[in-house]
Amino acid sequence: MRNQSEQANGTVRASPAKAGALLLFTVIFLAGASYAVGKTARYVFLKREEEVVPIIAGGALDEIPALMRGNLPSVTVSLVEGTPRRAVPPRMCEMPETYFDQLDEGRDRQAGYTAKNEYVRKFRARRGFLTEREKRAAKVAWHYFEKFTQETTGLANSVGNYPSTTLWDTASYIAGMVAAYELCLIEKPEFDRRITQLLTTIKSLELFRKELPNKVYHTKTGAKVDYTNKPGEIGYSALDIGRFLVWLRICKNRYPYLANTIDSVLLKWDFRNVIDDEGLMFGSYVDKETGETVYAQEGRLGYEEYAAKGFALWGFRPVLAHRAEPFLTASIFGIQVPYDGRDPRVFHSQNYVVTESYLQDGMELGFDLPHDDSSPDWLNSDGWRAEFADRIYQVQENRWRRTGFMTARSEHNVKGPPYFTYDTIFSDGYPWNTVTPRGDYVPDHAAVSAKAALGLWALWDTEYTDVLFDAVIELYDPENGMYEGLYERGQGRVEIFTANNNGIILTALLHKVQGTILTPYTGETEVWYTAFRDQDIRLLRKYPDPPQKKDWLPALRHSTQERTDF
Amino acid sequence: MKTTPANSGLLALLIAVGGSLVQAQSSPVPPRSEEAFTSENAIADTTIPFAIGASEARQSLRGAFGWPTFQEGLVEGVYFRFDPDGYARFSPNPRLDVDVFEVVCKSRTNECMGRKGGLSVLLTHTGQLQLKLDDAMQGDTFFLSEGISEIQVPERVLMPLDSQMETLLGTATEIVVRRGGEEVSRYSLRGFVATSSYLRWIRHEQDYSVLPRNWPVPNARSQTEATITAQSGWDSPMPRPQVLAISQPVPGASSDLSQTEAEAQARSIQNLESDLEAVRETLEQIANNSANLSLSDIGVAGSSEAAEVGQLQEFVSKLASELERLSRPEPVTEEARNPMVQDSETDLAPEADPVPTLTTDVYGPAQESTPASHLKYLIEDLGLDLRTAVAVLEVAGDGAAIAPSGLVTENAEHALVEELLRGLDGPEEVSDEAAQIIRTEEKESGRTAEAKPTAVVSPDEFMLLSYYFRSVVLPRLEPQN
Repeated sequence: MRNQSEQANGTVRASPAKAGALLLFTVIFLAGASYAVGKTARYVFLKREEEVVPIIAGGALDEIPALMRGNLPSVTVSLVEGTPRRAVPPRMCEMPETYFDQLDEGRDRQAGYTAKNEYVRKFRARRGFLTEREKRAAKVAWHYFEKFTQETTGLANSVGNYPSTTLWDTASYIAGMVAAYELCLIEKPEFDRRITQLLTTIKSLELFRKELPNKVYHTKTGAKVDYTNKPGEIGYSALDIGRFLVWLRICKNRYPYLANTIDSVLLKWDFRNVIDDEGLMFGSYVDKETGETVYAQEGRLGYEEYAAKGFALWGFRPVLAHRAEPFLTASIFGIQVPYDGRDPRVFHSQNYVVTESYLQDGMELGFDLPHDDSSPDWLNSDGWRAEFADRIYQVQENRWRRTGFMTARSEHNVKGPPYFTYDTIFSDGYPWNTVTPRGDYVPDHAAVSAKAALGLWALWDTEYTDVLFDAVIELYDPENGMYEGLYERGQGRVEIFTANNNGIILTALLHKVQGTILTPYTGETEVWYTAFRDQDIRLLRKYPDPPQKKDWLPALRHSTQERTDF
Repeated sequence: MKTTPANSGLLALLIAVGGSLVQAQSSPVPPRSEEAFTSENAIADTTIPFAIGASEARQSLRGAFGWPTFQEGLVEGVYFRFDPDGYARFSPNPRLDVDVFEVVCKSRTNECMGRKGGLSVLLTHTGQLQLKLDDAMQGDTFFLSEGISEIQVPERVLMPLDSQMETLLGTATEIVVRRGGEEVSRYSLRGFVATSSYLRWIRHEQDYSVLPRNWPVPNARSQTEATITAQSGWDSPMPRPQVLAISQPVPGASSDLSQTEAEAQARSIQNLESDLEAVRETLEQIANNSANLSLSDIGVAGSSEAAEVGQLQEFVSKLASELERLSRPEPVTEEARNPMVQDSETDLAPEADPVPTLTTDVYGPAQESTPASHLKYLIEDLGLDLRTAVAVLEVAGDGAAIAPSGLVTENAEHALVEELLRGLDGPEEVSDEAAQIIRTEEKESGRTAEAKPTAVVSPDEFMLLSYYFRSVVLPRLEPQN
């Protein structure tokens, strides 16, 4: 009856149980759906986060606020490839007697380029403890700095008692200091006193037009001076600054407790004009007529690459300055000697080929690229530099073998006019060209340079460098240091004492004991990269960000010479 | 002049003494390298071209000191470069590597010396060039070679050079030393003219008036603008290159001139005194040595040497008295001054010939010129009319037998007297004064030349010419030995 009446009314009354079940089902369904959506979303978001992380670590840096970039790690070979960093060698007096027995010198490796454009040299460096003769030379060389360092500023004179210096020579003083400490000629208190005073002075130096250190400073007053040591300003030298940066990096990596001081020195400098966007280095000078600063490309093959690596060690990208091109070769005694291809008549800058810059690259940087902190000493990641250096060595040995002239050429001071010579392997179109800074040919001033001879001796363990060693190792005055060299034409010693000569000699002796002087950086974040992140100073002064893999200088190779040509 | 053995011995002695004296006062001692580049050592402004086409350039310095600039160019067939401290090299090769005259200057002075192997060229304090050959000895003969032919030159080629000898050396390519007919040495003279001109130019603070007459001097500052180098703070005390065409002396310059003249005279006297002192010491040494020698050691030669020593001592005392006389202020005589005073108003009109640029000609002893050359000089160079010039020559030529040029006509003592006199009042003084006048006029000419075309000329301004006349006359009046 009731069904009939319901049907007649067109309505059906549901039971409460069914409605409850339906409600329950709906609730459960919605909860499940929302859970599933949540889980899926979480999964999706989490998955996306994983994709974002590598972007932060090294992707599009421009999209990352500048505030954050300073905390990025400097990417080195050991970080990327997971290889162990090179070990920091102990001081000579702390080395076990068997230290050199277990040294891997790679003598079983074949010379030549590797697939990664690394280079294994035909020669090996000389390694071992210092002999008595070498220790005596080290002491005498260090005595130069003991005698000619100014108490007031902590700066060392470039030449004897003339109170003037450059950043290049100050780097040589730091080299002397590091070597003296590592060779146990001085102890840590003495080292710390000297380096701290020096860095403090350098931080307080008045810069050239608020940019970078002037080319020359008075060592007694710390005032910037001109070439006649009178108050004034000349400009700055990118090469000098590059070498100085190499040695600041060596100090920072070896002695982390100096890191803050060193960073604070550099954080006063303005690098906006020293390297351009293409990676060329520029020095500056003052225009005589207008008094304005003129920036001019600085550096030629040899010095240019060495200085460029100094900048790269601090995160700059001197890509073009590090390249060998444009270069040409001149065949001398069967060796294709590379020289800078920029025409001196056009660029008004001579293309001197000397030994010094190759020695410094080899001894201080191990012919390695700035980001390489793991390759052994016998493997040179900046391959072409090592290969070119071998040619520079070989041509000098060949000259000795074929003419009898002992040859170890570099730039050096001389006593009396012209006071300074570029004693070159090749320059201005001529082999074995000894020229003055203004271009006069002065063959009488050709000499066996003491620093070049001992540098060759350290990096090339050969019979010829033994001869060079015998020629110069006793070339000293106990009161003043090592002499600059030995005249080639028999006029005796070059009776000048310089910071550069004594510093490089100490470096060569240290290299014999410890190998490559630059050691890996073992710290983490650096003030150099984090400072001024809240201001625009970094942008204005072009302070770099920590170098990433994409910033690495490229490893290049150039055609090698298979046989001597005649 | 016939050369007697006594004379030749005396000549040799004087060469030795003179040479050592010149060497003692001019031998440049290079400073230590670290001291060489102090600004006080900058004696030359490298922005002032030594010759047309020379340009300043930047030195490629790596160290902490050095000269930031240098100047390079080509003149008289030789390439050259010089630094602010005067150090220069002259060579026929652009690398300046072979056949090089190297000029080195005494620290902080304008005293320089040119060297090429054993050959040295230097300026005496009187401004004359003097050669020094390391291996020349008494009795050697000297020849100038031009490649094919040779001519013999007298021993006085090693004494302060007169203008003729200097010109002769400038035209030769080599000087040959022979001993007993055998060639001992041979020195190249390429670059001699450029080097000697450079020595004078530096001595006179880069004044163009001392360069040879045909020297390619830049005539506009705009041509010499250096655009790259020199320190920004360089405040050169050196005169700027200008045209050396001066119409007439500037009133008011005489006081400067007389002051300069007095200073120059004081310097000359000082130099002379030091020279005499050195000669005395040398003679005393010789006398002592002679006294210590035994008779057998001395022999005949010893007696002749003693005689020469006595003669020299007498000569030195004569020189001393001469010095005393010259040290006293000596007014210019009316005889020397009057002719020019009389002619000045008529002859030195504004359109008169320009005062000549002084050349090396005036360094030579006037007594060795011919009357014709005197006349030519007076008319062409000094602008005198024929009548005045002849009158001047008559005054000068009274009793003076003018020697043929190129021959030695005086004995050694007389030559030395002349040299000393020249040092005090001679043509070198004239040249210095003239250079001073020219310098003063260079500064003033731009202002005064147009403004005062008919400026009144005072008699004092013609002291310059009177000195010249006196230099011509005085040597003739000296007692002949």
